[in-house]
Formats: sequence, C-alpha cells, structure tokens
Amino acid sequence: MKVNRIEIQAFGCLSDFAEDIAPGLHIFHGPNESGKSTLQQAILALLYGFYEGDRAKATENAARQRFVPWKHPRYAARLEYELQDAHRYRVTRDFADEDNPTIVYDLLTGRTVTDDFGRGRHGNVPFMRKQLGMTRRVFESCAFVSQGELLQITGEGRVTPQEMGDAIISLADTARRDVSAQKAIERLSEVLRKQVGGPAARATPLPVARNHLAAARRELEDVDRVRREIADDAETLERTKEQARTLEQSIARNHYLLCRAELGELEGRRNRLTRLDEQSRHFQEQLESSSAFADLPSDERDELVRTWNSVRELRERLVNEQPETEKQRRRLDELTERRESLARRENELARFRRYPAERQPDIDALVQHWRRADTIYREAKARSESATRAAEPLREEYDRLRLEVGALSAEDVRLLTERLRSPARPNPKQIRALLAAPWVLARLIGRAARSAVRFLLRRRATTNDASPDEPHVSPLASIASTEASRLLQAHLRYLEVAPVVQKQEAEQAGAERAIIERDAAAAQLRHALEGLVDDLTDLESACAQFSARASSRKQLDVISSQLEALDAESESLRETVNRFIADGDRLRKRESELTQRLTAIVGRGGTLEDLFSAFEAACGQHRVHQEATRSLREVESTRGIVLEGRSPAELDEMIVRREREIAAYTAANPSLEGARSNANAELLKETLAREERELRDLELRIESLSTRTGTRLSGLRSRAEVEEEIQQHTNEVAALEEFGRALTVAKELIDKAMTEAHRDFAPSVGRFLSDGLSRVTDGRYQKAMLDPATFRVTTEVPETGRLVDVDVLSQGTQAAAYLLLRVGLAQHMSSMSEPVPLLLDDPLVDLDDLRIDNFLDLLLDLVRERNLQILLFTKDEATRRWFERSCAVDESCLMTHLEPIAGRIPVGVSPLVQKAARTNEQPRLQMNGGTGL
Amino acid sequence: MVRILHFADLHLDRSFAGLSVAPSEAAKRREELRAALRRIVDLALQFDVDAVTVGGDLYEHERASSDTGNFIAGEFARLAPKRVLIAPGNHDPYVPDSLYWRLDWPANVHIFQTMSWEPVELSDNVTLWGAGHRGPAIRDNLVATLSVEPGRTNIALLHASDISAVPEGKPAHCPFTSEDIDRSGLDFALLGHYHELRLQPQESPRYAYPGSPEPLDFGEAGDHHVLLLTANGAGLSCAPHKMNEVVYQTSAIDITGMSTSDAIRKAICSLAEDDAAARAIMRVTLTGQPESDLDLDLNALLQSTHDRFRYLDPIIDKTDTPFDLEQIEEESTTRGAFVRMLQQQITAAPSAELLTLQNALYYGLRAFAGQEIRRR
Repeated sequence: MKVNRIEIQAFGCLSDFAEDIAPGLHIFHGPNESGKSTLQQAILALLYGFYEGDRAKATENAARQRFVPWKHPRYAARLEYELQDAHRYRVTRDFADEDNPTIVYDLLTGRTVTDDFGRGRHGNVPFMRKQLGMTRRVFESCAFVSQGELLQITGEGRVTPQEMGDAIISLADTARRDVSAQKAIERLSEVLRKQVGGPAARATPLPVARNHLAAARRELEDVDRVRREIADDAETLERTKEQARTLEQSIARNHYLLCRAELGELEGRRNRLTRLDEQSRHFQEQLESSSAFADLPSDERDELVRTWNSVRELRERLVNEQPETEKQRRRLDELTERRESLARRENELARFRRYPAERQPDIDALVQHWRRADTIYREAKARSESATRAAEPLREEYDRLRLEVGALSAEDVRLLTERLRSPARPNPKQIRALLAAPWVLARLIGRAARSAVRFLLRRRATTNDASPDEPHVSPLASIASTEASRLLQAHLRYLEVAPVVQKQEAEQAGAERAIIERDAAAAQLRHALEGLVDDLTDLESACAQFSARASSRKQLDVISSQLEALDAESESLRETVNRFIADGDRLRKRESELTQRLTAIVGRGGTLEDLFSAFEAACGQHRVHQEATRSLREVESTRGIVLEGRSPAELDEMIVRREREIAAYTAANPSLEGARSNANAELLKETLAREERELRDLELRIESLSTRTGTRLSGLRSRAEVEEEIQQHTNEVAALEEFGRALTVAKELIDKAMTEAHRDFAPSVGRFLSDGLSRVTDGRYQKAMLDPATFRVTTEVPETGRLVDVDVLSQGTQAAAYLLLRVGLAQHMSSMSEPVPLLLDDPLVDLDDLRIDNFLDLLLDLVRERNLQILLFTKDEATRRWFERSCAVDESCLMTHLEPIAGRIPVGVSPLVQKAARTNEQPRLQMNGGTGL
Repeated sequence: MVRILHFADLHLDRSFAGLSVAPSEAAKRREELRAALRRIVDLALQFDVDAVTVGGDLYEHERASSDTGNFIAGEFARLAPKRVLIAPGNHDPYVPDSLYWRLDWPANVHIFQTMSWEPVELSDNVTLWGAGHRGPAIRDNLVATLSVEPGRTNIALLHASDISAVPEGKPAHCPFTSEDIDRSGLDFALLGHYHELRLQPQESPRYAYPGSPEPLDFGEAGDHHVLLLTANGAGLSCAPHKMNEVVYQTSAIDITGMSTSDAIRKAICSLAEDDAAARAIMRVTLTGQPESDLDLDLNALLQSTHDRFRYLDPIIDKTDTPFDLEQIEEESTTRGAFVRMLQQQITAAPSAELLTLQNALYYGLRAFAGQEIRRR
C-alpha cells in the first residue's frame, strides 16, 4: 500500500492542507510546531479512524478530542492510497461528527465501497484491517513510530509480543487479503467433511459409497453363489442324464431277458402239464382199487388207537405196580397194629395231659440251685469241723497269750528287742534259735508288729483318755531283759497260735452262712413245687416225683405225635392201595368196551389184539383211498394253476408270441443276442419295475434340474450389471478416498506452512537487524538477535564477543536497534502481504550524523529495493542535507518543508471547494497539493 | 462353391465395468451386441451363405443368462437349414453349466465340444475342422496337432492366439504360429480371439481374425467386421464386411486461453458436429493451461453437452494447474510456503503418490483463493 495524497480540511493545528505523497521516501521537514506529528496522526486517523469497536472508549474519545481543530469548523480529511494490485481508493472521514462518517471510494470503478468492508459505529470501517492485514495496534507497533515512542514496541496501548506474533502469522497466512490460511484449512476441512466424510457421518459420500460398494459386492457373491449352484446342478444334470441312458439300456436288456425267461417258463408249464396228466391217471387207478374201504369210519380211528394204547399202558402199569402195592398193603397192616399199641399207652398217660411240663426248666434250675447250695453247705461244714478240730487244743493257750502279749506293737517289740541286746545279753540259745530261723523271726516280727500296733493303739487310747497332755513313756523301756525275753517268746508263740484259732472262727462263720443259703434255696424249691407233687416233706423225693411226672407228660406228647405220623402214613398207603384197585377196575371196563367196538367195525370176533390188527389193516386201505382222492384233487388244482385259467391251446399261443417278441428284440438290438441272466422272470419283472420307477424318477429329476438351471438366475440381476455397479462404486470410493487424501495432505501442509511462517519470523527480522545495525554503526555491531517472546534485542559486543541486551548500550545504539526492529517488522510484514508504509516521526534524534546518514541510506535502499514507502517527519538538518545529497533527483523521493503553524496561510483552496468538503460531496474536493510554503 | 460367414468375439452379456460408462449405457451396449447378432444373421440370410461359423467368445460364460442362450438359439434357428458351426472360446468354454451344454440347440447348430479336431463336411470337397475350448485357460497348441489330407479344401475353425500378436502381459489361449498353419496343410483358418480385424498375411491371407463385430471399449476404435469366406474351384477368398454401428471415440481439448466455461462447452459441442458423433461413445479430455479465474465445473459441462452425443463419458480433467506456481513460490506467505513444500514433495514422490500431491496442490490453492473446491 502506498499513500498517494492527503487533504486535510482541519485536523488539530492543520487546516486546508493538501499534499501529494511520494511513492518512495517522503520527508516532511520543519521546525517544531510545524504540524509534522499532527500530519502523522492525521494519516493514522484516516487509515484506522479513532475507534475500534462500536462502543467508544474514553481514550479513543480523548484522542479524537486532542485533534479538534483550533479554529477551523470542519474537522475532516481525506486520503488517497493505492494497493499493490493497482487498486486505488480514497477515504474521507468527518471527525467532527460523533459517528465519524467515513466513505471509502474506489477510484478505478468510481464506486463507493464502504459497505464492502462492513460498517461499524464511529467510522469504524475496517478497510485497512482487510487490505493491509493488520490491526491499528499492530500498525502502530511496527510501522508507526511517533516521537519518544521509539523504544516502545510493546507496553501500554501497544501490542504484546504474542499479539505481534499473531499479527505476523496472520500476515504470513494471507494469500489474499481477505483469506487466511486458517480459512483455507477450514474450507478444506468443510469440503472433506461434506464431500468426503468418514465413518462417523454415515450419510456423507464416502461411507455411502462404501456401503453401496459392499451391498453390490454382496449381490455379486449371491450371483456367483447361484452360478456355482447352477454349475453344480448342471454337472448333476449331466450325471443324471448319463444314469438315465444307462438305465434305459438296462431296461431294454431286461425286457429281452424277461421275454426269454417267460418263454422258458411257458415251455416249462407245458411240460409240467404233461406230467400232471400222467399223475392223474395213476391216482385214478389207486382210487378204484381201494374203493371198498372208502366208508371205513376213519374218523374214529384216532380215538380207537388212543383207547387201545391207553389199555395197553394201563395193563403194563398194573403189572408193574402190583409188587409194590402188595408191599404197601403189608406195611399198612403193620401200622394199624402199632397204632393200637400206642393208643393204649396214650390212654394210660392221659392223666398227665394237664400237667404243667413247661415249668420244668424253672424247677430244674431251682433244684440245681438248691443242690449247689446244699453242696456248698456240706463243704463249709466239713471245713469248719476240720478247723475246729485243729484249733480246739490251742484255744486255751491262745486266750491266755492274747491277753498277755496280744496287744504288743512293733515299737514294743523293738523296745523289747533292744532291751535284750543292751544290758542283758540274750540267751544264746534263743538268739541262735532266732538266727537259725530268720524267716520265722521275720514272720514273728510282722505278727508282733501288727499285735504291737493293736496293743499300742489300745494303750494309747487309754492313755490319751487319761491324760492327753502328758508325754508318753513306754513302760517297756524299763522292763528287765529276762522279762523282755519272756515276753518276746510269748509274743512269738502268740503269733503262731493266733492264725489257727482265727481260721477256725472264720470257717465256722462260713458254714453258718452256707446253711442259711441252702435253706433259702430249699424254700424256693419247695415253693415252686407246691401243687406239683403230693408231698414236700422230702425235697429229694419231691424232686424225683416232679421229674417222673414231667417225663410222663413228655412221653404222652411223643406218643401223640407218633400216632399222628402213623395216621398220615397209613392214609397215604391206603390211598395207593385203593388207587391200584380202582385202576384194575377201569382196565377191565375199557377192554370190554374196546372189544365191543372193534368187533362191530371189523365184523368178527377174537382177542382184543386180533381185533385191533384187523382194524389197522382196514385203516391202511382206507388211507390209500383217501390219499389217491386228495392227490387227484391236487393234480387238478396244479393243472389249473399251470394253465392259469387258460386252455392248453392258449398256452401254446403264448409260447409262439414270446418267440416272436424275442426275435423282434434281437432284430432291434443284435447285441442282445445270446444275452443270458440267472434271474428268473419274477426277479426280472421286479428289476424292470424298479428300473422303470428309477427311470421315471430320473426323468423327473432331469426335468426339475433343467427347469431350475434355467430359472435360478431369473430373480437376480445379470452379473455384468452388478460388476459394472461394483466398478462404479469402486471408482467412486477410490476417487473419494483420493479426494480425501489430497484434501488431508493440503490441510496438513498448510498447517505446516503456517508453523514455518511463524518459525521464520524471528530469524528473518533478526537477519534484518544484524545487517541494519552493522550498516548503521559502520560495522561495529554485526550481530543482533530478536527474542520473539519479549521483543528484546541483543547484540554481540565486539570487544567481548558476548551477546548483550541493547538496553545496556548507548542511547544512540538503542535508538538505532529499535528503529531497525520497527522497520524490520514492517519490512517482514510487507514481504508477506501488502507493503506497509512506514510513518516515522523524528526517529533519528539520538543518532549522530554518521549514523543518521547510514540509517537514511538503509531506508533509501528499502525504498528502492523493496518498493517500500516511507514518510519521515523530522526537524533534523542533517536529514535535510542527506536528502539533498542523496536523492534530490530521485523521482520517487520528495521532501516537503513545513513552516510553523502561526505563519502558514492555506493556499489553493477556494471557498467553493471548502463548502463542498463540508457537505461531503465527491469528488468536488480538489485541493491542490501542498508544496509547503 | 461354398460361402461361409464368419464372426467371433461378440461377447454377449459382457460387463462394461472396465469403462466408466453409466449403468444405463452399459445395458444399452449389451442390447446393441444382441442387435449385432441379429444383423449378422440377417447378413447371412441376405448373402445366402452355406454356413455361419463362430470363432468363440460368442458370449461370456460367467455372465451369460439363459435368456441370452435362448436369444442366440432363436437367432441361429432363423438360419436353418443353414448350418451354424460354433467353436467355443476361452470366454464361452464348453463346460457342463455352459449355455452350449445346457440348452437345447436347434438342429442346424453344431458345437465343437472337444479339444480334438472334428471334421464337418460342408460340401463334397470342403471340410471344416473345428475344436472347442473345454475350459477358460487352454494353453495347448491345437493347431500343431492338426494334419489334414491334401486334395480337399480344409478350413479350420478355432478360438486361438496368434503368438506373434499376443499383447504383453496377456496370456495366450491355444497359441499357434503361422508355421503351424502351414504345417497342418490347412487352406484357411477362421479364428477368433483378437478384437480387431487381422488378415494374415494381408495380401494373401491364410488365416483371419474378423475382430469383434461391435467395438467393446475405447481401445477398439475404428470399424469392426465379419468375414465372408468363399471357397470355389479357383481357391479361397476372404472379404471383411463392416458390421459395427457404434464407435468409441476419444478427443482432447486444449483449453489454454479459454477464459470461460462457455468457451469450453462450445469446444466440446464442436466435436458433435462430426457425423460420427451420433453413433459415438465419446470421451473428452481437457488439457492445457486454464485461466486462473476459470471455474471449471466438469459435471456442469457434462450436463450441458452430453445430449449432443450418442453417449458422452464423464469429462476428464488433465489440465495443468491454473495457478502461477513459480510466482507463488516466491511469496513469503503461508501460501508460498505451502507451494514450496508441495513442489518439493512432488519432485521426490513415487509415481503412486504423485496424483495425490498434485491434487493437494490444486485443492490447497483453490482453498487459499476462496474458490469452490470440486473433486477433479
């Protein structure tokens, strides 16, 4: 973009100002108060207006108020500019009105295009944002350098580094001024979503095409399946036809064979008929020879034979059974005799029938108990008497000794023994006696100990009763040794005698207990036998009586049972004998009856055997007659069967017919000549019937298969159509997939290109900075870098070789660096999009003359090489001199000298034009370019 | 004198899946193949030939319906008592589920059912030897197995590949060489397999392919024929007779300098001024460098021009990109970076990915330009 011309009716201190702007470098040179900054601000206000949103901010109002004209009533201006594509526009703004009416006019088409950009309130027509691709804040931060703000790229009212980065990406994205790469991605995404689609959106073209393709493939599979089935059916059909052909041949052969078999059978019948006629004649002769026996009651024969046989059997049996029967008859007599004897004895014992023999076990038990008690008693009595005899001579001595030494304790014995040992030596004889029999001594000591214990216990009891508190002192301790010896001897004797006497006493007591028990048992027995015997005085005899009576009772039972057995046996024998007698009677009766009947039949008398032989002979003749009759009937019947209702002549005719048929078969199929089969006619007929059935089945199957193979495809589309549809859908799917791939690649690469553009911005500006700083500082600082996150600039100090922040360097170097940064940013953005005009207000005040010249040379190169437009507002004389020296003859460069406002007189603006400007009429405002004064 | 009308490779019930034609056009085309058979029968009746021979591929076995079989039988029945001799080919082999096997053919139709040579006497001194394919891929040289007695006119009927003409990558069916024909003692071989007319040798042919009576795809441009073979005392003569009613035609239109769709439409319509257009299946390819602001809507072009032709295939866009890529590459914009990246990828891409990348370039630039994006 390049500003071509500016016309100001009134803006701040400026009024009635008009100037054509040079396309390259245009320097507005003038002293303070000449309106340079106001002109710069007027251009900014014309490009972006004072307001960004629909709601006016206080700061925006303040900015507008700041430039309300001092004197002039018309707060308005216009600006003409040209874009890179040669489109030229004129923007007119009326700042006096609160709504800041703004008109954008296309100078090529002569059309007002304000509405093309969208119209907001307060003159907010974003034509610059769209055409230049950057917001006012971004423009101010890079291309618009006002006095004192050189070092303020960021800060209050300025953009943040992030905002600047976004602006750069936005500019880089701009392929056309109103289309960003992001929009391109969105457009591609929308096309991808709507025209291709994916699995998530089933109604989109690609899933739809895939579904169609899958459906068509399924249909093709169906068609192919049916075709395979048809192929299978065709093979089956062919096999079936082959089977039918084979079967037809077999049927023809079997027909031939059947004819031959039937012919053979007919000939056989004819032969058989001849044989039957011969048989008939033979049986007729037999019939005639046996006609006399025709009326024999042959129906009775079986019965008569059975009767004769039974008679003979009965005879034999009676002869065989007679000896045994005689024997049994004798036995029966014996039994009768024995029974009588037993019956008598039973009568004798009959009185014991009521005797309670069942009590015998109890009585026997009591008797045994009693006998045992009696035995015990007798033994105890014997032992008592023996013990009494042994103890009687010792009784008196025992009583005496017991009184004297029976109470000696073991302690007493010990004391007595000590008495013997110590003062008075014991009698050697006694000692020897004692030593000679130590076991006697030990036993005596034991007895003595027990006696002593009893003695002491008695003594102690009396002593304790007498004086429990007195200490006990045994009297034996002071006894004389002789006395002690005597006592010990007495004590020993006592120990010998005492057991004998005591045993006698115990045995006597046992005998007494036994007699008591025996008497008790006798009492029980007696009680039990009471009523069962006549006398209980003598138990032994009572028991004997009881046993005898019980025995009789048992004997009676035995006899009774024997009688029963005899009766049973007798009855059986009697039945046998009686049956034998009855059989004899029956035999005689039958013989008589049989004799009578046979006599009547054979017509003569004789023995039963003779009669029966004659009867049997007659029966033989009768059988011959009957057999002949039956055979004759059978022959007739067979003849009928052989002829099957036909006459022999007809049979002959059939034979002739079969012979003709066979001749016809062999004539039609000579290979059948001589064909033979083991099967008979029936089997052949069965085979033929089966084969004909099979042939019919095969014919039906052939018809069914033929129909099926011909009609199976009728419900399906032709394979060609389905293939074409598949191909169509395949092509569609492939095309959509290719479309989708291409769209995706395009999207991804645009995204990647955006990233690359962002990534390139800092190095690109950094390179510009390095080159520019080196040039401005005459090569002192050759390397500069930009931190895109903070917009801080670092440079390499030649003395140290270290990178330092330019903020620590001189004011002039700082100013040069940040001015270069601004210009670099603007230049970078210009390279990506519409070139941005640089509006620089006294940026070189901190630079020395050399660096000013170097910097201006750099700007001039940008103008010439990069086609940038730079508007430089300055009061600096060095700049003026540089211009006159370097580009006075360059048509793309221009310098306008501005005078202080107080001395200025607007020129070339007629009252008519001023009036037209006030009424906002186009294009009446034709102000001549101000050339300065 | 014996006169034979010979044709082959009619491919009834063929699928036109290989073409991009619409389903309705494919069905129409199949009907036209049937119509060709009717015309052949009419021609045989008109010429009063002694026999009609079919050199195989009369129909396509995988796709043929019984209806087609009945149609063929009906047409051949019209020729009775003239004989129709069919040598099944690789597309219509004599197999159990084939139409040949399944259908009841008129008495005047004789089908060579085996791969052994079978003689059929056409007259007192003319014998036709035939053999049929029993499967879809017969690789045996049947011609080499034939040896005929001289003294009669011997003609062979077979579906076979002349080895000297087998396209690269295609299999040969019953392959033979011209030397095999010479060695067999045959006076002439009526063949089928190749879809274009071939008389070998051209000046004095010993064997001939009539080609398909109707062209079957865009690769079969030009006229198509049946053969009329005449055997008389003077020898054999073979004359092709044009048979096709439809032609496949391909045209390219260079749209360079055409700034509007209407100019392109007119260019396409100008193709219809040719007389052949009315019976042409036309395929138009656009080439050249389109104007950058040309909105090329192929579907709209097709809709506005197709009624001028018997059938117009979807128009193929093979134009160059309408964008000045060199200039855009120079841009320090995202668009420039995008073009640079894609051009780099296109240079290094295998051929399989080339189309995708070129389309991506086209679609991306249209997206940048805010133009409507249509599938190419």
